Amino acid sequence: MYLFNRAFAYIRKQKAKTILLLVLFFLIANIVLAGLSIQSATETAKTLTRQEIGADVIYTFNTSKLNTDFRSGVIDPSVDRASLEGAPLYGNLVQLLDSDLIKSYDVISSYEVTTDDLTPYVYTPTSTTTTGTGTGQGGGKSIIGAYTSSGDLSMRTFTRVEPQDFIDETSTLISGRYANQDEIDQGAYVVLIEKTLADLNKIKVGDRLSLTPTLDGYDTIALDFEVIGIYQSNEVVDDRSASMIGSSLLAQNRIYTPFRTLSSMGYTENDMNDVLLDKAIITLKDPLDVETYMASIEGRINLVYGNISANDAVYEQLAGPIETLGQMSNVLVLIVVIAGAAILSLITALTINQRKNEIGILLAIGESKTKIVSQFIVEVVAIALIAFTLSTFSGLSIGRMISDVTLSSFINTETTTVVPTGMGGGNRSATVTAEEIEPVELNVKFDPIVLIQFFGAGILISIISVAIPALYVTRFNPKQILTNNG
Amino acid sequence: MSILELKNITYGYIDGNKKRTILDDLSYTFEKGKFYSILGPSGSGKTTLLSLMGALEKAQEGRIRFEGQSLDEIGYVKYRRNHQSIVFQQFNLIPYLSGLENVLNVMHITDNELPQDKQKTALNLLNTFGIVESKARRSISQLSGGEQQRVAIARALATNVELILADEPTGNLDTATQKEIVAIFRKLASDYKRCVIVVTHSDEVAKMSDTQLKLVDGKLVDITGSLSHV
Ligand SMILES: Nc1ncnc2c1ncn2[C@@H]1O[C@H](COP(=O)(O)OP(=O)(O)O)[C@@H](O)[C@H]1O
Ligand SMILES: [Mg+2]
Repeated sequence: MYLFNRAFAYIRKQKAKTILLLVLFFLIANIVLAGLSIQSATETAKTLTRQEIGADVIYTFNTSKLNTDFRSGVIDPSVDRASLEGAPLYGNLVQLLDSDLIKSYDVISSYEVTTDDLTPYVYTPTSTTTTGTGTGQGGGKSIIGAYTSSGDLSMRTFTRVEPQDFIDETSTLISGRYANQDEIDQGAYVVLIEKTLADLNKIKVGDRLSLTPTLDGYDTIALDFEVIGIYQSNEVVDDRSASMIGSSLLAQNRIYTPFRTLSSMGYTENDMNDVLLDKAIITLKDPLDVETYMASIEGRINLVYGNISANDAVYEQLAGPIETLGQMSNVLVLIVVIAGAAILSLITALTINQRKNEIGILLAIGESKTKIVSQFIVEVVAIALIAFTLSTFSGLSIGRMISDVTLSSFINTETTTVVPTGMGGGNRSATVTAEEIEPVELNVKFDPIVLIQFFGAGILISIISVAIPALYVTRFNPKQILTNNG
Repeated sequence: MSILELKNITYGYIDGNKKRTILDDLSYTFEKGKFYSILGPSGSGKTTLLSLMGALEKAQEGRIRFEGQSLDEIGYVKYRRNHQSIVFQQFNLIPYLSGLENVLNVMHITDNELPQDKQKTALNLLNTFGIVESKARRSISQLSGGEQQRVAIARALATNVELILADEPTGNLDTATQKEIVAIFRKLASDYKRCVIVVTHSDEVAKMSDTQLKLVDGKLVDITGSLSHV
């Protein structure tokens, strides 16, 4: 295979061309590697963002749609909101639960109770003016989400051992325990009550309370509940809202109880299905499955007034610019690769023209066309390999620099997105904000397989851009080549 | 014994929109062990004829047989590689290879049986043509025209082919070297039983050949003995 000797002799002799090609390949490889590293960093960033945001899918009313339609009169303000198409009814939720991707779900609904065993907490404004409404006659203001209370205390349901509020740390268990799975499944009459209310009434874990649910169409029978835990609410309610809402809706008067208690109270499965939820939280096994899951439930419910969200707003806000960056680098890489291939073809075409005489000589002494073209390929591939090898060192650090700068600026953007989280519990805001997402360490790592694939593709492109002009010249007979250049 | 048989060779170039016939129904048979010279005025088609015999291109009409086999049967590339070599007027060495590498290159391309130690054989061969090793390893561009031609001749002989074609090989050389090279051609024909065909416009060279041919009106005419002695 003397073609290798010829190829290396040519590389050594044509120093200018060799250096030009070396620089060209080196530059292209660096840009491509920088692009790839940006991409790898953006992928990591997206994954981490998704993981940070979590695997929660939240089913609530579509508040903005509801507001718009209330205001424009499309729906009557006095309408039974449970009758609205797509409303977060338990029956609708059940349709979302048929998926292998789900780890657990929490069903949050509210009902009110009256009792003689407890004196409800009454809000006393810190400023002097107004006095809190003592008996839950407050509200009455037409804010969506606040409604006239029908009891002294409100029950908030859960179906998870650690209810969502506790996960979100709006509430913290300070003594006693959570309900166990059995109690949850069977709808045992167990409750977690707020510390303020407990202190006020000298209630401790293990005490029993007689509570009378005020449920539409159900007998108001006092039921015996066991206090299994005492929690502290971390909710901060400003004076204005606190004085406006009914006292039963104050966080201090909130009692957590399993959702299935409704069933225990005599709700049939049909009744259960009609229960209007404040919200439902479906937690997936893997945050990265959110898109898949969202796609799989598409169309299961006609969400006219309902909303199923996966903190998309926050995700979009965070991942959007990252994604744009990734796409930009994609385009950049593509342009550079195409331009590189074009430049390489041009250089080859030009030099091949100068090498017509040499090709004629080789043909005249009986060298095969394949070996002549192979020689040209070996020349370029050898240079490409050197350039690519060199670029793995420089390209990686360039890429790391680029992605460190650009991504950290995206991640540190101090923005807050308010994600509406349903209405029943008042205007609680965002479960996740962009601020809460911690800046993530982005390790630009290259899959060696990806690297090899990239180099392989680079070499393939080089081979094609060299082989085409070379094959074109070898088509002629040697006499033609020799005399045209003689 | 016949080695190369040209039969009814016709070859023309398209000049503008007119076809100009250069070789016209040319037939001739060359024999082994003989040194031929082909004379003819400039533009008579000597180079064209040589390139047909060297299978650098194909005649439009007629047939060329090498040792009884048509070039098509042998295959053009194989024929060029294993059965003939050409010493070109403009040397046609590969510019980025040294003289030695140019010789080694053809030794690697040919399928002909060659001595095991190619490098040594090549250096010896170059040496017999006055190219010492230090020169043989030099870049082609650092050799004089005469030296380049010697390398080209060494390259032509390196593959042990039966047919050696040369297109005005001595045109660039001084008289002494010219004589030396022609002597080698003679020796190749007489001692090594090769067929040597040299295109020349030098009567001196032609007179040293066994057979003198002249390309006249697209045909080869034997003019052996008709050249006036100096
Ligand atoms: N590729 C070509 N196209 C057209 N005409 C050519 C070509 N090569 C040679 N010729 C013409 O053919 C004739 C013979 O050329 P050539 O064989 O080189 O002659 P010689 O070697 O005897 O001087 C010349 O008139 C030349 O101009
Ligand atoms: Mg000529």
